[in-house]
Amino acid sequence: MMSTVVRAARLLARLRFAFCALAAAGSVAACSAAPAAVHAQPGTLVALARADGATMNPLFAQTVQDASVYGALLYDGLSDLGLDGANHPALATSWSHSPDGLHWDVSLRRGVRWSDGVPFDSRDVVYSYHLMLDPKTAFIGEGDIDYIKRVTAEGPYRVHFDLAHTSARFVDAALGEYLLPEHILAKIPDDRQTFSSFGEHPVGTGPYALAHWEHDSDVLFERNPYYWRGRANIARIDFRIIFNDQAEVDALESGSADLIDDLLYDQSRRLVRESPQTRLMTFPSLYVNTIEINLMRPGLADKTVRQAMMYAYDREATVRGFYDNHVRVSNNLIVPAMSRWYNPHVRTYPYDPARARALLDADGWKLGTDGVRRRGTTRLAYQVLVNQGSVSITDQVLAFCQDEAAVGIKLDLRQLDFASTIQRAYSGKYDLLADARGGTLDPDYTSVLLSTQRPPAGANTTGYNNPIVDHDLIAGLAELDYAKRRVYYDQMQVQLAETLPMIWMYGRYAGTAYSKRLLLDPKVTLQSPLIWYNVQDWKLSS
Amino acid sequence: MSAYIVRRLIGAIPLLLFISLVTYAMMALAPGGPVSVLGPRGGNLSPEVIANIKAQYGLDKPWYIQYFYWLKELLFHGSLGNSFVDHRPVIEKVFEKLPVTVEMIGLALLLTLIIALPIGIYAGAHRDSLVDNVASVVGFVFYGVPIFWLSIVLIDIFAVQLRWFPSSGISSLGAEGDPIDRLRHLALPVVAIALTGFVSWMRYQRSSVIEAMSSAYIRTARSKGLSERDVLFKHAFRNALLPIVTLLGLSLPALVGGAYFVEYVFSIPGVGYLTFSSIFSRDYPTIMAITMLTAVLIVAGNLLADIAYAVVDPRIRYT
Amino acid sequence: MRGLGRFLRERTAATGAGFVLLLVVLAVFGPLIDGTPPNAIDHAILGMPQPPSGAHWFGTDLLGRDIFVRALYGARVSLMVGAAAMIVSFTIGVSYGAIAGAAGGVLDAAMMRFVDAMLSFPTFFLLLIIAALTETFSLGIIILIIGLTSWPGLSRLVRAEVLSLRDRDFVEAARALGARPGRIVLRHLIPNALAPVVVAAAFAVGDNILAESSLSFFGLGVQPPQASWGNMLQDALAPEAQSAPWMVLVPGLLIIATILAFSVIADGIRVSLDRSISQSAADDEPPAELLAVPTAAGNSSRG
Repeated sequence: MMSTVVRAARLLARLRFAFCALAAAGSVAACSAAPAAVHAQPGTLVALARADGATMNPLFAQTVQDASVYGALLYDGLSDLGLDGANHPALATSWSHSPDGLHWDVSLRRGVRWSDGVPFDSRDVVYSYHLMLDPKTAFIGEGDIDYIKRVTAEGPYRVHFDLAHTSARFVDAALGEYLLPEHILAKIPDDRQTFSSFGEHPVGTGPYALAHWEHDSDVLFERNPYYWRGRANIARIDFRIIFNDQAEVDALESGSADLIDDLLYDQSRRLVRESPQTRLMTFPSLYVNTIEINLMRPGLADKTVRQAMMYAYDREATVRGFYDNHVRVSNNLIVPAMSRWYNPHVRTYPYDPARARALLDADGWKLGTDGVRRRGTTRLAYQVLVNQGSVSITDQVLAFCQDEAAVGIKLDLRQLDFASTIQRAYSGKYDLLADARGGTLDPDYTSVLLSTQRPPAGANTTGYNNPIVDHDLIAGLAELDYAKRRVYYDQMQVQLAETLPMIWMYGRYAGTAYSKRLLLDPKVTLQSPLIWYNVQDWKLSS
Repeated sequence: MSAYIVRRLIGAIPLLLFISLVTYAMMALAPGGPVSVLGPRGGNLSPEVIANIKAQYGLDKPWYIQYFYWLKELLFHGSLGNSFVDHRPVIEKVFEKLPVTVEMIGLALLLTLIIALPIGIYAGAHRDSLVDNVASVVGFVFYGVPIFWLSIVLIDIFAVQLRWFPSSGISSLGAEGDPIDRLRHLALPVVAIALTGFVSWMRYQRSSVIEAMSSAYIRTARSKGLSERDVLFKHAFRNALLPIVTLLGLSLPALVGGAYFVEYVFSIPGVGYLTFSSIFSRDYPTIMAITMLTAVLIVAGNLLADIAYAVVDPRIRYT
Repeated sequence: MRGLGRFLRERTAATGAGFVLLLVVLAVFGPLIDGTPPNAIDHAILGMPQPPSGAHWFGTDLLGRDIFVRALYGARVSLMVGAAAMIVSFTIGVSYGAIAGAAGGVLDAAMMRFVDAMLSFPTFFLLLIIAALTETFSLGIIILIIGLTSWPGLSRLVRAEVLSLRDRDFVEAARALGARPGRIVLRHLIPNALAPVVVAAAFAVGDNILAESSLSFFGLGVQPPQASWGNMLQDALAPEAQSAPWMVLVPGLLIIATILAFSVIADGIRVSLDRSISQSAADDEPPAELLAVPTAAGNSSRG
């Protein structure tokens, strides 16, 4: 249902911790000894995952695994992400819009069938969008496409969209939503969709269909004989769920598995060291690890304090010590990998504790006898929330805390489970919060940065309020012309770097490891889970 | 006798109700309900959709009303509701994970008894001997081992270095139905649970044997000229076996607790893993179901224990 | 053989006590003597744990911190949590159990039902949920949480003892002399019931240390950078631990050794208390050796 990119953006940005919480916490400092390599049956690709998905119904998908990985295997949207990171026609063949951008016409591909053989046509499209837009269905991504007023069919292979306002995201987000079979779901009333068994027995137009699902253990997909791009090369894909990082690597090394698509840096380090024949692909980061700042807190509300915190933080040491310089320090919310939007001409904050102290002194923050700066009744002493389950992140945040203590800002760490952290973020009951942002190929950050999007209306948990950025976001989202959009987002990036609603740490490591028998397309440039979007072209050499 | 059993059964009901109420209250009061876990993904969900999601989960009502509906569902429809995470019936989710955990705990119990009984009885019969002391100390050593730490060490030694066992999961590729393969996967987790738990059983046996050996009727038996061996086997031994049922009921919380950690570390998709993941995702119906299941088992275990005592000691039945 | 056994047992108990004493001394004074800060991150060796050496007796961890020093600070935390939580559960458990046992009847039944309920919860559940619930987090809260989840077992034990003592001669005598119920509980029942309870309390210290290490392992106990043996074990999750086993072995072995020490001490106490119990009483009493296990007798309405 959700476009590939939008899905990844949301879910990964927030829910990676859900995985870390479960998976990383179970990770063990040991190698597994998979018994003498039981090679997977020929023709079956064995992929590993650290957590299973919950449902295969895109309307209610909650995790990266079911939304982006299983979703990519089972479903298609009208538009789809290509290897070049751009959106291409998928179930649609072409689209056009009126000059005001409010009316779109989409031509549908002919000869497409659902995995149960039933032909696909405009009825499925109209019905899918109806389901998504109906509040009674409670589709998770409804807020992304609520500007669609009406969807009508004009014959079996043409669909018309009427929008309430223009959106630059219409093609990648709205047209990218996965489509559902009307002939199966229309029998169920909208408010009962949550309870249907469609999530356990999905039917889609994608390259694969679900063959067998043993929750939290094993998921088997078989290729869809009706797939409109032609039958996929690999007959079966088997996902094995292994909660712990070490056992994952061992399964790959011993030959009993073929792919770890979402590789952790520590896993890659071990693979490089112990099994140089395993193939490793590294991708430019799509995510930035951040420390979110509650801009409502006294002291943190001060731009000078935030800038001082950036100067005081030795990010190079983290990148060197924890990642052997395999990731890069970040200066921006937008990652360099988003080459169409990245603006390198923003303010940077090289490690300079002397400058940090000077800034704080000049702004009236005096060092107290306890080593903590204060001004009037405000003390620069805060708590940083971290999700439990990732030792690496906890250690990195500790290093951050120590750096800040050196300039007189006292930070205490508190580990919490994922749900508690989210709740605190959304209710404003936090000072600082370790998180990650990104996963999107579009620079639209309306729900995160727009001043009117404070919870519960949106996801602006930092309380960011910048009229210039507000204008950029609104204008940028409505503008359909790339060159004009670019101007707005360039300015947005400059503003963000100057006003710092978050502390940027570094671009998150993105890698994939796979065995020799798997032949991935070398043109793959996008990290997991987006690599699954051309799974039909993958090949197995045995 | 049956009157006693019935009385105890009736007494168990308010207990279970109380447990369910407290669990629901605790869960509901914990910060970050299931909707907040969804929230950020939605990003900008309209208030109408949020209201609908809450209504679907029954979260639009105060917690005690939610509890009441849960109870009603359970008592009148025998249903434990649907999971908040994937909306499948909770019973389905629990029952698909139960066999593995039961297998693991069952095997662990078996191994524990195999270790603990002979040693415990011997120790009891030869009180303060070298074997007795060494067994106690070794038992205490393992008692003090954090089970997750022990699991990690076992994996490191037996799976990594020696490669005798796999380190995770419950089956190897292509060998899903093979019982030998399954046993190989469960071996280390079972050993971890057994090692950390056997000391209680051993000492219980030991003390039962000691008590039995010195009790009045044994002295009578001895004075009648029965050999020490006969005394041991015919009287002390039989007496010592009875408390097994008792101890089974009492050690269930610890066993189940140990299973949670072990499943976590060994990637075994059992009830323990489900417990952790449902707590972390605030999946109320699943948490309630597992808590009640565990509570019922524990209460049943205690009941069995009490019945066993009542069989032995008639005084109990009439009080 | 019997004499040798008793001697060995005494020696074991003495060794245990000696170990704990040594630990306490080290924990209290060690950090004062060795001034190395336990939380100082060494950027130079970030991500590269150093093996034990002259400079670092137990090596360093992922952040370049000295493990020996952290182990000492961790000892402080673990011992403090273990002991303090035991005092909490002891206080609550003994009073609760004594009152229930002395009162008898409906009040007793109701109180013990509540205890049954508490005992039916998987403890770690409780700990997890409470840890997530609390707003402000401190060592005190952790002690409270652990103490609050471990008193039910003790109360059962106390109640069983009180029940069996209640009808004994000296209590009858006190009653006949007109002593008030409160006085009977305090002056007669509790002191005599204490024997197995003291033993159980000594075991409880070990249980509490385990509970703290489990909580901290999951990140919901003692918060870094403060060192506790439990959160030092978190490093066992890092892939580097495989090539740096000292990070995992040191806290683990310390936990084991400490709990072992408390266990043998408790056992030794039991042995010496046993000797003072007369032979005739031993015939009718429930086995006083039911230590880390709550007695089933406490559950059935006996006496």
